[in-house]
Amino acid sequence: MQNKISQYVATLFENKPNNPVINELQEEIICNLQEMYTDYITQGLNQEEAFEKVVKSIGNIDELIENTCPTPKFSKAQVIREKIFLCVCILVAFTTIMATPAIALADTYSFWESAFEIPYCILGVVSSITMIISIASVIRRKNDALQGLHQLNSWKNYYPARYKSYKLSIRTLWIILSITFVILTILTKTYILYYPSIHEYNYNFLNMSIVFPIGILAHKFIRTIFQLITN
Amino acid sequence: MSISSDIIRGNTETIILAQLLEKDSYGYEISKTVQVKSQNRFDLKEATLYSAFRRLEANCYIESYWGGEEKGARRRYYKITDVGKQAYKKNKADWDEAKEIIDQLLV
Repeated sequence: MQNKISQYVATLFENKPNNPVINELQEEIICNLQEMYTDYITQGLNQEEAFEKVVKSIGNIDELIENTCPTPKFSKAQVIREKIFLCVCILVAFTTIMATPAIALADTYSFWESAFEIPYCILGVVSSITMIISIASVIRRKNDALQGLHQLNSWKNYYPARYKSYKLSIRTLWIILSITFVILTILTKTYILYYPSIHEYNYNFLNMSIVFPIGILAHKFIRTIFQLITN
Repeated sequence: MSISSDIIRGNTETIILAQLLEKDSYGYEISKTVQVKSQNRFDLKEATLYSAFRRLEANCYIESYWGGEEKGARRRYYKITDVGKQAYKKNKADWDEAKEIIDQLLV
């Protein structure tokens, strides 16, 4: 029956913010309810009656959680930025998926040139996964675009070390990509404006259209990894 | 009979501070003491009790620390701070004054 109490409390905390403060609150409530249950049994109540009384004594958990971990308020700019980020992720993923078969089916390439398509194919798979995750997260919860912000705030408050390493990973990623972009621009001379032929288009596509989309996908991917670790 | 009057609920935090003046205590013990002292006429719901703890902690009126493990779960003890003691004195004085006024008004 003690386990039944733990399980019951666990169901009350389902879909609630997952952070150390809430976890400790849950542990504290379970401990007290178990002691209360033992007291009722000592007073002569049977197991079912004791359990019922314990459950009745809990009250409004939602209010308690709101008092313990108030829903963070975001600035308009933060919300817009987060929504734009999600839309760009979907758009980039969609564009890359559409581009992949077009490149793969092009008959202008020889066998060896076609080998160059492998990164596009890998990118296509990664894009598909990213797009599915993004769309699924939007469908799952209407306001899911803000979930990222909730999580970032939660990491910042309760997992400072993890938040620090997340920020460091993201910064490193964008620095590397920016340097790559500059080097590629110099090497392929794409800073010179001209109409490329079909073969030169490859370089332009790689340089202008792939480097930053890869960055956005990698950004989303890193965030997903950190989300998985936190959960 | 159980009283759920707003007058008592409005003083939940002062009631908790009063219990902690005697000794450090944990949620269920405080709840039980309140029930016994009020002769079963007032009981604190868990959610009300912990909400009050969070507010008191946020105001630095109490501090908490983890005690020993009981059947797989740890007990969290609460301790009143000096700021909490001052807040209790002020709330108690306010209550005494309010009680005096109401006594005079309600014949």
